[in-house]
Amino acid sequence: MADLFTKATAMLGRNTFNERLLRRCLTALAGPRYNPETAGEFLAAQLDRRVPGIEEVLTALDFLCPVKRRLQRIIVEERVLCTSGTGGSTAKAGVNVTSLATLVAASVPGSARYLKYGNVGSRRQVGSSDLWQQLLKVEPMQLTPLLAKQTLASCGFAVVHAQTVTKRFALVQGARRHATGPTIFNLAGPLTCPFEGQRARYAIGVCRSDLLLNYAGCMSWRGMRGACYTGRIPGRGESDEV
Amino acid sequence: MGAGFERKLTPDNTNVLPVLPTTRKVTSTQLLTEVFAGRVTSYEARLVLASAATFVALNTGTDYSSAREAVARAVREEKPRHLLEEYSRAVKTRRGNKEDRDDF
Repeated sequence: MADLFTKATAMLGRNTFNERLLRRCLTALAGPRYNPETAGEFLAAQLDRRVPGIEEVLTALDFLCPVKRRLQRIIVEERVLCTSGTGGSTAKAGVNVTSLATLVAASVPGSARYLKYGNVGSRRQVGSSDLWQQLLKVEPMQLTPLLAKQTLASCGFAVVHAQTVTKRFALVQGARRHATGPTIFNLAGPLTCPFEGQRARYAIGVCRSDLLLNYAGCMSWRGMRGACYTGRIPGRGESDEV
Repeated sequence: MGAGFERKLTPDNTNVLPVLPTTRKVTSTQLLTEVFAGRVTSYEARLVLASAATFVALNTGTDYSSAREAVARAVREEKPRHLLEEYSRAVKTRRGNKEDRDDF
């Protein structure tokens, strides 16, 4: 299995990588004896100096949420802004701006409802779930979508830990820790947000501006209305309407 | 605007958002302390408020400057702290229910 990742990494350098090989590599991730270090190197190489196609991101999404699971949705009737981010910005190693900004935005009277969707951080970064674990003194796995739906109604604010939506995040966590940069799962992660509704909107931070166009395509394919954004400063920047 | 500052236009050219230079690194907890106390001085804390105002503008359809004022007012009145306390209570009450713990 390690050979598959090594071969794929070499192919990435020659730009001969394809979706079929990605699918094989992702399947290997679910195997019992894959090497997280080699897999991490492969996943980081995918995004390093290269813009993955929409199909590749959707392949990673398909890996995280197979079709049967993806049908499970939580429909919200009220106006909700779901905030999330791909992570992977080296500038925000010690701080999670979007999580705190969502809390502050939700505290504004009459400004509708806000939901923060996030995961634990990989490498040195502070993930959204790491921060809420510290602030709320609860295990991230307790921040489920069902709990979020209830607290959205009572508080107008909720946090969802991505690994409660799909346990397959745990399969790639080892590889993510060994990756030297953001991986394709950073891009696929926010797309697994289960909340949908006519009045639901999304604001997703993207770690690199060259990824914006394809990412907007992924959001559109997923039926997410809202914006993805990036910038030179960590956490927010110029918006790119989808 | 002082030296080192610049302005950015949003795509619809209606809202002018300030882009601030990085000054120092703080942690999320330090940030929260600043925001809760209503004494926003660091670059990162101002970034949190600017991001929050952007979210409010996106969600309510108001312009950025009105959203920025509303966010500043909420911080002065310590509303983020109250919301976090309320949310923390709601999570701790609800997490005991078995149906809430079921895997999604």
